[in-house]
Amino acid sequence: MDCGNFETLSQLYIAEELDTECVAQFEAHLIACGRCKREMEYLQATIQGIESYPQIEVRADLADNVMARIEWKPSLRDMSRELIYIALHQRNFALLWFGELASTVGDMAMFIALPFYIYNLTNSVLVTGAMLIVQTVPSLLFSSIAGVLVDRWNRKRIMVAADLLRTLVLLPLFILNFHDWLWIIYPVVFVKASIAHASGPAKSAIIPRFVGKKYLMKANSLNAMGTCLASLVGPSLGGILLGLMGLNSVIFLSVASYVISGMLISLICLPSDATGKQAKTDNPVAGSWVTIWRDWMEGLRLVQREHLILAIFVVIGIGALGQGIINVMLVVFIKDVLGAGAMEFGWLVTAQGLGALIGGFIIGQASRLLPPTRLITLGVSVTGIIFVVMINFPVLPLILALTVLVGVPVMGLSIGVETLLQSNTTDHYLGRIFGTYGTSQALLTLGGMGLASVLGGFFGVVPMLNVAGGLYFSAGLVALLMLRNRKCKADTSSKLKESPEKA
Amino acid sequence: MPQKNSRKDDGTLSHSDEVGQADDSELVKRVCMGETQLFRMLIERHQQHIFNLCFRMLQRFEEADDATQDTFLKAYRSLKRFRGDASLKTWLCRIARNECLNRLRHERMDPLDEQLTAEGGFQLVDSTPSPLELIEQQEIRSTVHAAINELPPSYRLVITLFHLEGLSYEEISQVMEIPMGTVKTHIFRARRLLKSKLQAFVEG
Repeated sequence: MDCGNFETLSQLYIAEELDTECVAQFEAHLIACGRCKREMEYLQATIQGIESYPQIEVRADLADNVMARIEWKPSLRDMSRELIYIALHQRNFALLWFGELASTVGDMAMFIALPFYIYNLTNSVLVTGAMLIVQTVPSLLFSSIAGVLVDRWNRKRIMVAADLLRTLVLLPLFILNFHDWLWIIYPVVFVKASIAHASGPAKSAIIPRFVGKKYLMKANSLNAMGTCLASLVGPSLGGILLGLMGLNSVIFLSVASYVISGMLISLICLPSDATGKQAKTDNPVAGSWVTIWRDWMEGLRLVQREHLILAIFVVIGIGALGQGIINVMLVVFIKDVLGAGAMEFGWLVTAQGLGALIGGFIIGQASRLLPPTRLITLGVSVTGIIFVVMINFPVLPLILALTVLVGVPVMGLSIGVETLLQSNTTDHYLGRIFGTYGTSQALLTLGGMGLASVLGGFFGVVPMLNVAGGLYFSAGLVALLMLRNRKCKADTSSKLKESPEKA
Repeated sequence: MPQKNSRKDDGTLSHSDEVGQADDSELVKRVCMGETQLFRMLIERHQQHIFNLCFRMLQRFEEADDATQDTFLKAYRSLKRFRGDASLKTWLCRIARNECLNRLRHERMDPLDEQLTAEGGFQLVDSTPSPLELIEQQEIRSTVHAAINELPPSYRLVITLFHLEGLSYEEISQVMEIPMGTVKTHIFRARRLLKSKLQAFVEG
């Protein structure tokens, strides 16, 4: 043999595929040729190296997890057990949940009452739309910056302060006569919404600290179900109170709800490590504008850099454009197309709350089968389809039924987004990510509202709402392209791996 | 929970012994007939092999754990389609391999084509007498392990299956769905790549 055959023969030699004569020749060559001998030594050392590759022990509960996934069947009992577990063992989460429930009832009551109150007074889509725009502008202006503060300050204190400030802001409304002072609603709504937009990112950012990764999706489901419960109670209360006792009673309800919320959230005990970095910068003076600006830019760069987060922003942005149109045109649709009033609007929002409550339960269970990325894709697409059907078949019972149904995809979308953002962002950036998310959503909702306010009278309510449904559906297609095959950390959240962190 | 082996007072094997001694195909049959719990036995028998394979392909614990779970879940769902032509281990390895390649493809973690062409980039060192003896064994191992992690996924897979999981060429050919000759070529090239890396480290 010669050195030219060495590569092939050495491999056959190692694999013991050479006959005796060839083995003898090969070994003789190795003795004679120093270069081939050295090559052989390297090959043998390589194989020894390969065979010493360390074996890593499989996770002890792997079989349990797989069997749990195989044997899983949706059951009210399991869900209830998990809910009770979170409620009993996660005191902080329970306080936050009930606090949010209370304040959302107040928010929803106002959400129903104010547009109707203004539309009844003025009969103008433009004036009603303007109120909704004023409500959205703060998110555009402050949500992103508020996210920076949420990352720097104590999140609990932000939420408590937000509740107290909202209470104070609403108080002047009791003494005003809106026939003469209608304009006062605009600054009040503006300030109240500005405060609320600091509280929102704080709440989303604090939840992962209370529950572990295992329960994150469940906690978000619970959280969303709380909002739904509030959507069931709040609008009905708002509609009934407005119809029977006037706007002041709705304002009183909101004030009371913020007080209760503030009290409950103030009882939350944050673990020492949870305040960590924030405690050091709790003094607003410590955070100079330059630092805030730098932190804010860091958050924006993170959104640009992370494909998954960017994809969520794009998809939800398109949906938000549609939602803006819906926000303005829905009241007009109910009044002019359905020939209904505030009471029926209340039923619709209540039906949506009921649907979302059912949806929250279903999504909480389906999270084992559907990763958040798919929840988002299906959520926006199906919402669009159902909405287009609703608009084109304007029969109240059908619309009520479909409104309940649409709660499922809407909840899938909401829980999917929340969980994906929480589990794919480090705690240090969560406030900024949720803040920027709020801003981008507000920007596009505002765009939708602007479109609806300007073009609504020209094109008519049904075509505009069809466009809104189409936008939701398009968002689904974009999600299909951008979120397809994106593996994310949250996809594993339902696989029963981690214990909840001690809060 | 793993079933415990125990012998009854009369000396006969208990149910758990019986199950523990049943071969894979017997267990597969019983799972297909509705004894779902027995699938746990199959998981426990093969989880370490499958996890090793996934971990070497994906190189991240969490990712490998996910891929292993998904492999067993997919295996369970298509268990009725398992004909028994190959061993269950080979069949599971094939599912795991597809699962890992999908993950790699979707995350663009480790583009196969780019790395396969990287072979030409390694230079065989041909110079002075070997200082191999002077290098610590641990150093050699670490160098080879690091080089394995840098191999293209298909080479990593073939090396794992052949050297670490002890599969035959034929079994690897079934897992990877490539001819046996190609399996040998892959092993040959993978070793050559690793050897050249080691050589470059020692002599470079």
